[in-house]
Amino acid sequence: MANPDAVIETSHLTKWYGRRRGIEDVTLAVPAGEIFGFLGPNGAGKTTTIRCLLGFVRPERGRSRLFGKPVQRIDRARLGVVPGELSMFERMTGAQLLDHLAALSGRRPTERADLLGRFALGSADLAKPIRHYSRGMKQKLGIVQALQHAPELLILDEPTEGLDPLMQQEFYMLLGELRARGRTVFLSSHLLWEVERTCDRVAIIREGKLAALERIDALRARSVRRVEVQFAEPGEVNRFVPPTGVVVEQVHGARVTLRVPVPQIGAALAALAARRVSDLAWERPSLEDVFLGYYREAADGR
Amino acid sequence: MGVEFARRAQFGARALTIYAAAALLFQYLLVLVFRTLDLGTLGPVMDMLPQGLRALMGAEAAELLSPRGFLAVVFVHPVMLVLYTAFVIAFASGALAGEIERRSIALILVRRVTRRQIVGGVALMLLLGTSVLMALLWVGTAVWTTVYDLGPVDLTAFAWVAGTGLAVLWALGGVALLASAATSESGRAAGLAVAFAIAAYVANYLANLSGEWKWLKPYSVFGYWDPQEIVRQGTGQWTDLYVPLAVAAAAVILALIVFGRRDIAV
Repeated sequence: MANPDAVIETSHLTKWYGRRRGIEDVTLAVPAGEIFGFLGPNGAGKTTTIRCLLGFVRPERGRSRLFGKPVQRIDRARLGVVPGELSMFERMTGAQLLDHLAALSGRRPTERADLLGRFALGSADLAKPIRHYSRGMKQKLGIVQALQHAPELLILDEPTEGLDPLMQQEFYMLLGELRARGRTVFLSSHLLWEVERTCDRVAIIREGKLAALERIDALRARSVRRVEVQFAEPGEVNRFVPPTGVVVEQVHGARVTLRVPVPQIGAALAALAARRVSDLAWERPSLEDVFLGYYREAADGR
Repeated sequence: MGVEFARRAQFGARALTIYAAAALLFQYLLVLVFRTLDLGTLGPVMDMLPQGLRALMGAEAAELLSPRGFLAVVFVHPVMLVLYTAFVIAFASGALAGEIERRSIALILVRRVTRRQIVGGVALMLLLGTSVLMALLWVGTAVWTTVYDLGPVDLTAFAWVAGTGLAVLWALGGVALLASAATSESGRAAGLAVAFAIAAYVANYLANLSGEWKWLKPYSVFGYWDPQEIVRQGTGQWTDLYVPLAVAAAAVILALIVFGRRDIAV
C-alpha cells in the first residue's frame, strides 16, 4: 500500500549479490521534511539500500519509491546525492565538474555560491584538477554538487567522511537549515552521535535487516554513556553509591568505569557531586553498545 | 545528454589525437621505407617469401612492390592494427566498465541521463573517433602519394579500403562496448575485447595461410578487410561493409540491453 505522504518508501526490499547477503525485507517510509538517519556498521546493508533506492541495483523482492514513483520515473533534478566512497572525474577541475553536473541536473545551481563559501572552496581550489584535491576537499565538492541545484530530496551516504571537525560542524548546521526549509534528507552513517544530533528519526540496520526504526529521542533514551571517574582517593570509591540503572563496570584503585543510561545522567552527576572527584571523562557510545543495549532489552523481555 | 557527450568527446579527443598522430607517423615512415627499396632486386626475393609471411600481408596476391599495393598493406600492418584496436578497446572499456570501477558513474546515474543515453554517447564517440582515424589515413595516403610522386594511385579504391576498415573497427568497437557494458572492471572488459580481436585476427591469418583453414574467413571480422584485393580490383564488395556493420549494430544493441538491465553496484 503506497503512503501518499512518503518521499521515500521501501517495502520488503530484499537484495542478494549471488550468495552474499545485501539486505532482507527492509520496509521504511520517510515523510517530506524529515531528516532520517540510516545507521549501521560497515557492511550492514546501508549502501545496498541506497543503491536500491537510486535504481542502481534491482531488488530480488520488494520495491522502492521516491516521490511516490519508481526512481526511473522521477524527475532527477529533485534529487541530490552524495554517493558513498565518493569518486569524481579526476581530470576535470572542480569548477568544470560542478558546471557539468549542474547542466546534467537541468536546474540552475542557485545554491552553489553560498555552499562554496560555507565549505571554504575558493576560486583557486576550483581551478585545480580534482586529482590534486585532498580527501576532505573532494568530500566538500561532493556535498556542493549534491546541493547546488536545491533538490527537494537529499540522499547522503556517509557525507562527513574525510571532513575536518570544523567542516563537519558546518555540515550539521546546513542540515538544520535544510530541515527548516522543508527538505527531506536520508542520511546514512555509521556514527551514532552524528545521527543523534542531526536526525528526527533513525532506522538501525544490522546484517542486512532493520533492527529498529524509531524517533531519535527514543533511541537516545535507550542509549548508554560510558563514564570514567577518577576519585580523589580509593576510599571515595567505596563511599560512592551508584543510582538505580547505573552500572559499575570496572574498578582500578581510585578509577571507576560506569555505564550510565541517558535518563540517569542527572542522577549519576548528583551522586558523583556528593563525592570528591578529581577527573571525569564521558565517552560517546559506540554503535555496538547501542546494539548490545537492544539485544539486552530483547533478552530481558523474553 | 549533449553535455555528457561533450565531456566524453573532450577526453576521447585527447586519446584520438595521440593515436591518429602515431598512425600517420607510422604511415609516413613506411612510405619513406618504400622509397628506399630497390624494386628490381626485391622482386624475386618477394616471390620467394614463405606463405606465412605473405598471409601476414593480407592476401595471396600481395603487390608489395607497387605503390598502391604497398600503401594498401600499410593499412593492415600489424602495428597499425594494434593502434586501431588499442584506441577502440581503451576508449570503450574505460568509458563504462572503467567509470563503474572508479565509481564516478554514480554522479551521472543520479542525474537526468538514462543508461541508454550513456551507452549511446560512448557508441557515438567510438563511431566518430574511428571515422576520423580512417579519414586521416586516407588523407595521408593522398598526401604522401602526391608529395613523393608515388602515383598513379586510385584514391576511390583507397576510400573503399578506409571504409571497409572503418566497418571492421566499428565491429571491434561494438564488441568492446558490449564487454564494457557487461563488466565492472576496465581490465576485464579490455581483456575480453582483446581476446575477441586476437581470435578474429588469428582466424583470418589461418584462412590466408592455408586452404585447409579457408572456411574460417567468413567468421572473422578481419576477413572482411582485404586492402590488397580492393586496390587490385579498384573497388570493394558491399558484403565487406554489411557484415562488420551488422556485427557492430548487434553488439551495440546488446550493450544497450545489457547495460540497461544490469546491477551497477557503486
